[in-house]
Amino acid sequence: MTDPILEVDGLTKQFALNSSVLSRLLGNTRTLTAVRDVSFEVGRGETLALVGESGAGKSTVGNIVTRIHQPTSGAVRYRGDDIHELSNEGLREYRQSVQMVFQDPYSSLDPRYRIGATIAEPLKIHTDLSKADRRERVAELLETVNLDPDFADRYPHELSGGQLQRVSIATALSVDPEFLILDEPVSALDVSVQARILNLLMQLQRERNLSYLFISHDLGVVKHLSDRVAVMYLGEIVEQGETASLFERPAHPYTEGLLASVPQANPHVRRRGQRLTGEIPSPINPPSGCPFHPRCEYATEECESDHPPLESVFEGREAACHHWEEVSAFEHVGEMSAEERREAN
Amino acid sequence: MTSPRLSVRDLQVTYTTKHDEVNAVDRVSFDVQNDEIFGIVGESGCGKSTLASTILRLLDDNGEITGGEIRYGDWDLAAMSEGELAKQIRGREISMVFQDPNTSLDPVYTIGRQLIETIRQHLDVSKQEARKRAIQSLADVGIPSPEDRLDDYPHQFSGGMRQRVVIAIALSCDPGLLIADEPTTGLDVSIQAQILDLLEDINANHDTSIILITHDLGVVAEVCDRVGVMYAGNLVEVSPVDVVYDDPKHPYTEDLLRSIPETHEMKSELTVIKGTPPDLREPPSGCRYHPRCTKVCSDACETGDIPQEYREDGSVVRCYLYDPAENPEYEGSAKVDEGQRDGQLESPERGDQL
Ligand SMILES: Nc1ncnc2c1ncn2[C@@H]1O[C@H](COP(=O)(O)OP(=O)(O)OP(=O)(O)O)[C@@H](O)[C@H]1O
Ligand SMILES: Nc1ncnc2c1ncn2[C@@H]1O[C@H](COP(=O)(O)OP(=O)(O)OP(=O)(O)O)[C@@H](O)[C@H]1O
Ligand code: SF4
Ligand SMILES: [Mg+2]
Ligand SMILES: [Mg+2]
Repeated sequence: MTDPILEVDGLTKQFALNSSVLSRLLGNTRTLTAVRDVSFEVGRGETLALVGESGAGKSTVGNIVTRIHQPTSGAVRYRGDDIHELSNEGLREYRQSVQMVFQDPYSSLDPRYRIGATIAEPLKIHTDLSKADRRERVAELLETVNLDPDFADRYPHELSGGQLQRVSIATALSVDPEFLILDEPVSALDVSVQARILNLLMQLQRERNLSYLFISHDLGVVKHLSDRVAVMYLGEIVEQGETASLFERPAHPYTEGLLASVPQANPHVRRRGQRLTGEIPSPINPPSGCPFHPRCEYATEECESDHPPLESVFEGREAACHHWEEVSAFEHVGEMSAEERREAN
Repeated sequence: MTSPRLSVRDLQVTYTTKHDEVNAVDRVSFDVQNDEIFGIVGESGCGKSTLASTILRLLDDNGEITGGEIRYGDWDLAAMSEGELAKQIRGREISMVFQDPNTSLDPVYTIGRQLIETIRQHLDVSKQEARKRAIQSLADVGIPSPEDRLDDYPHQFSGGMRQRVVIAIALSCDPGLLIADEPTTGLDVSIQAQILDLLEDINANHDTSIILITHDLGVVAEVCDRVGVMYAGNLVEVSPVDVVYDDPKHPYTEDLLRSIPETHEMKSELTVIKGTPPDLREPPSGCRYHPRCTKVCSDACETGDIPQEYREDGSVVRCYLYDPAENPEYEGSAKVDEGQRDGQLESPERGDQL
């Protein structure tokens, strides 16, 4: 990896949950650990994908990097500077160069403003473009995300889900950021429009050397455009490595299960391999030892008591599993090659 | 043949904005059978959510049904009074999972309270029993330790958890028809698999028909029996699920399948459909897909008013390729259905499977 632009170091985030009035009176507040000791780096011009089950803590990580949440402990450094110790000027720059596309396109846009005003807002703050120039830039941005420039005059409630999602992307791109946190940015798009947006992201990255933290549940998309993948489970990173190699040879049983659960866009191909089973444990009261052990096929006694650390297991790969050797030795069948698929037809 | 659970005929929906009209659903006809999971796919902005909200008559204030029928049992939902809809249909016979989870969740009440209230509105059970059911239904959609989380507010749940709560609420009243608009969007594969299993289970064991709107062709392949493909407000193809993947009839369906990332080299440019999505305020004349279609076969494609749906091996297609009069190379089996002229309603009692 080139020198990292973003370094996340030992990040932990706990939330206090408000309980019923009675338990509050009794002084029983509960805490939920959404993110636990998470570390990763993103290089300049690189795409790191963050994947993992719903509730694993992915958005929380993104929200800490954009300073929406304050971490309970740990640090985030951007170009070497701790983002919670920036000067006013440094903060202004940070807010321009790091942009986030939020997971929920419905609530991330202000319903009272026309689309054009929403997209122009960051331009107003961070540039000295005239009103007319801003309008032109807005039209241009709408076109890059495959929307008619006339959408500028519409209100959010007049747009479909996928149209809103593209407006969020246009807004994030408006001030030429260098780092984008994309939280499920194409989840509401059909494959053709999705393909356009992904092409756009890949093209921008090539041209301007942008870096992406790409949060997605869609492993097909992740495989297509990320350089590296970090897999989260119950607030922790359990495996991290280069995309192609990780898809081919997962070293953590959770990654293995995730890959086996991918639905195929072909009715003749049924999933092969072991789907994930069992319930996701509660982050309020996580299991002892390895957090994955209650659902793990490989688990032994050791797994119930000892928490496996995330460590380098082979070239270019980190995993947190006592039995990674056994897991990575298994012939993986999570996905079929194009050829196999053709044969299955 | 028994009559279908839902029969939509020539449905037309228009949004009126300050400057213009958006023709979001245009002469759409389809049936949903009793035991069926019917998928709807199509380009972003093509009218899927509009179609879904129209069935329950929950359109935005500026939207209006401008033609057609929606038959459910003995009712025509398009013509029914607001009062009757609220009393008989919504949340009883038909329930809906909205694409925007915030529509169904009130930020000021706890998750538990919202679920328990819905359950008690529909079932005559004690508060305790309702609470038990609420916990069970959260467990069914994979919320860990549900009993610990009943007292949480929606903003304390992750995006995917909120989505699953909405599904739990929609299922808690045991509907005859469930309309689920992008229910698994943004959910990771294992939770998605669990939700899909749940949908298949209620479909098989609770006599619930399902309309599943999704852009995820993997999901469609996995659970749907038949699929309707929408383009620019039109339903352009209705086919059994394997036909859609093996032998798609409409050129749009074919083009759509080519954009799937899995069929491309890593990091390579993905195939897109040329041209831009149409502007529904001024939809293209003729076939609405013709400006982007690579198979235009006759002048009619550009100007004609595709009069009927064409039937082809168990599929219904809105495309002149299947009209021998317009496509000289046509050699298949399509027949123009005599009974169904332009603008004329086909009576659903005919039991014709659309
Ligand atoms: N403001 C908050 N208060 C309390 N708990 C929270 C808050 N935000 C998130 N959580 C909890 O933290 C955990 C992680 O949430 P997060 O939104 O980061 O998950 P995620 O990985 O993004 O999931 P999804 O894929 O469903 O969006 C969840 O259990 C969630 O309920
Ligand atoms: N209230 C409204 N007023 C005006 N136009 C609207 C309104 N609601 C939706 N539209 C327009 O109608 C068309 C259909 O919207 P709809 O939400 O049904 O699309 P969709 O197929 O569900 O798209 P997506 O996959 O992106 O959710 C879109 O072009 C949208 O911009
Ligand atoms: S450490 Fe044990 S329980 Fe955890 S993933 Fe590895 S084998 Fe499974
Ligand atoms: Mg999230
Ligand atoms: Mg929609």
